[in-house]
Amino acid sequence: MYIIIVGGGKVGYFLTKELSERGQEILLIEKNPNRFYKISNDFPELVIHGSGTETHILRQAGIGRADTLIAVTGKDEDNLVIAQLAKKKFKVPNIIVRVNNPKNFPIFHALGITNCVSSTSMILSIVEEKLNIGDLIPLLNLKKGNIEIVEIDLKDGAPAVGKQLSELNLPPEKLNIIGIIRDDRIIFPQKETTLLTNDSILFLLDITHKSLLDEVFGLTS
Amino acid sequence: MNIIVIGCGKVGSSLVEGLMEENHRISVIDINPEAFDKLPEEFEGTVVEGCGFDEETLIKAGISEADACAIVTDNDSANIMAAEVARLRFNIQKVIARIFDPEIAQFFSEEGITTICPTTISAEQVKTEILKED
Repeated sequence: MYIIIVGGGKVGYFLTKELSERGQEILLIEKNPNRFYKISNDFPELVIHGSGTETHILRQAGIGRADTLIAVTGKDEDNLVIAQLAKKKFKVPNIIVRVNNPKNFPIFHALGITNCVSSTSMILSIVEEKLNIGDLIPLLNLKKGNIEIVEIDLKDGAPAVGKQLSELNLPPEKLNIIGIIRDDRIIFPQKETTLLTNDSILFLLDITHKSLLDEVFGLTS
Repeated sequence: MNIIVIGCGKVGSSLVEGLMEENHRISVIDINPEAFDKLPEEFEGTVVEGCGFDEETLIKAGISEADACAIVTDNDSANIMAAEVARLRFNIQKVIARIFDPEIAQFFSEEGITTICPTTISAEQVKTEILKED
């Protein structure tokens, strides 16, 4: 695979290091001259100097033959332009983008850029889990952001505890239970499976139907 | 018309002055509040401090009633992002963005954003002057 990474900050730098150690062909594009200089000391053949928003730099990087483009600059607006150039102008098959401000997810999704990663969002999820602020833990966004994999941890006294899955009346066209994690084991959900306290239930869910989970599981959020 | 101008630099503020002469309702967004000092004293529209591609800022500036959006910050990427948010998230049909990089201007005009490229315009006008018969 030939992978082009735009943005040589911490994320881009360590991605370059990891991927090249794993034997992938990488090129990093970095526009800041000081950062470029430091990176070229560590990875002399793996970095070029320039802005990934400029088409002549992308061509210099060989974007025509890239399999994957990763846009991880510190600016969402640059990542948005780079991703669109890569996807629509240069037809790169795989685009992965860092979104710094989670509020910007919708515009990326509206433009068909779905592989978006926000470390803020991920850490928020973990914080919410630890503080029990929200009972629904989003794990993964799929398909333009409407379909998610979410996790619900069943607490003591939750209305669903002690019930069989078939008793919950969950319409399968709106959400699917993917699996249940109990005591570090994976349980494949069956109609007769009885839910217990501390079960972690993983759902594939269209988020427009999130309220169904509130009704069935009595969520407080 | 209800018009949102994003970017209150030299071009933005001149644009606002020009539009005021035609009696339009104008909202101006800039990330730096001092930029609004460039607006003429008689300006009666709204100013909103904030980022032009941030949906909350755009809503504060009245984008739901806007007929047109003129995006003239000095950053091409920010202008493209704001233009796309205005078009795709708020359905504004008339979206005009000033883009310095000719290839970016060309590419995104094919994606449906009206782009004005000062680089190309200047090059063409200078060329015309240089090639003029004395």
